[in-house]
Amino acid sequence: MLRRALGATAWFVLEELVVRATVIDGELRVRAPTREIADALGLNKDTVTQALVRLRANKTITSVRRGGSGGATAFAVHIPSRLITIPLLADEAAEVGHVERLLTLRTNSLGSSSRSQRVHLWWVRPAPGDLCETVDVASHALDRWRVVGLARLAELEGVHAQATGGGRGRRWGTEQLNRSLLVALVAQFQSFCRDLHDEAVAVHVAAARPGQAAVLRTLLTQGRKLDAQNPRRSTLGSDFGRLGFSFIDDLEGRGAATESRLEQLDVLVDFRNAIGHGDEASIAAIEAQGRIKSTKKAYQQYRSALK
Amino acid sequence: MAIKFDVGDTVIIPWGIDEVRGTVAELYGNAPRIQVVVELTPELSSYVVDERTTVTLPVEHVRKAGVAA
Repeated sequence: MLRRALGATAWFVLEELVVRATVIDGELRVRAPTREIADALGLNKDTVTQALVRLRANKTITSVRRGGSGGATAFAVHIPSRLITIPLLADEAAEVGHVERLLTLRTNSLGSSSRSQRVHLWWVRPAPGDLCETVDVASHALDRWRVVGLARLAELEGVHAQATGGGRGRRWGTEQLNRSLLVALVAQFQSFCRDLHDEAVAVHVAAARPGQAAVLRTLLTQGRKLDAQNPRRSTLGSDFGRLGFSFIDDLEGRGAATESRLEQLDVLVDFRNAIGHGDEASIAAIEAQGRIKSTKKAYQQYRSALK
Repeated sequence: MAIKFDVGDTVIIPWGIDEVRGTVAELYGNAPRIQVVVELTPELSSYVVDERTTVTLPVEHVRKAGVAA
C-alpha cells in the first residue's frame, strides 16, 4: 500500500534512505545529501528532491536537523508497521556485498506495533534450500529499470516530441530518431537484465560458505553473455540458466502473452543489430517481413511489452 | 568507496582460494553498487583460463595490481 501511495520513484529513494540509515535513539535516521542520493540511484537531482518532498508530505520522513554549513538535512524515517528493513550486519558487509538491497524492504508482520515502529535491523542469510523457494523481495534491478531506465527513455522521447510536435499522426523525417529510440530501449533493457543477474548471483554467493563464495561467483559470471551481447532469449537463457532453473522455459510456461513478448524481444534485438551495424539491407528485410518498423508506434509497442 | 582503477588497468581478483590478474573491461552501476567486468587472458591469469573470458564482480572485490590489499 505504501509503495502504491508513494509511487515508484519515491519508493526507490526511500529504499536508498533506509539502506543508508542508522538507528539513533530508537529511530531510523539518515543524513541524505540529495546529490549523493541522485548519483547512487542514477537519477536527476531534481527528481530526488521531488521524491523527498513526496516522502515528507506522506510523513514517511521528517526533518530532524540540519548539519553544519552546507550540511545535508537529516531525516527520521518512519517505517509503518508490517514493513521492516532487513539490512545486513556490519561485520558481514564485506562478505555479502550488496545482497542487502535485495532484502531491504519487504512486508512482514511483526508482533506489537511498538516493535515494528522501532525498526529492527538484521540481515537474513538465505539458506541454500531457500534459493529454490519463491521469496518476496524488492528487486533493486526492477525498481531501477522502472524508474531510471524508463526515465532515460522518456528523456529521448521528449527530444522526439520536441522535434515532431508530439501530436498524433504520421511524421516525416523522423526515421533516425525512431531508430534511436529502439536502440536505446534495447540498451536500457540489457542494463536491467544484467542488474537482475547480478542480484541473483549475489543471493547465491551470499548463501555459499566463505571459502566457496569466490568460486561460485566466478562460475556464475565467467563469460557471461549479457556483458557483451544483446538480451535476446538465448542470452538470457544461457546466463540465467546457470542459476539452476530453465529461465526461458519457465517464462514461456507462463502463457501465450509472455511467449509472445519473448518472440518480440528477439525481433527487437535483430532490428537493433541491423540499425547498430548500419545494415540497411537487413533493416529493409526485417521491415518488409512486417516484423517491426522504424516508427514511434512500434517503439511504444515494444516499450510496453518490455515494461 | 573511491575506485582506484579504470578501464584497461590490470587488477587482481579472487579466484578460488587464490587470486589472479585481469584487465578491467567495464565498470557499471552506481555507488554503492558498482560492478566490474574483468577480462581474463591466459597470459595475465597464469593460465587459469585457456582463452579470453570475463568475470563480473562487485568493485570491493577488485584491487589494482601493485597496490597492497
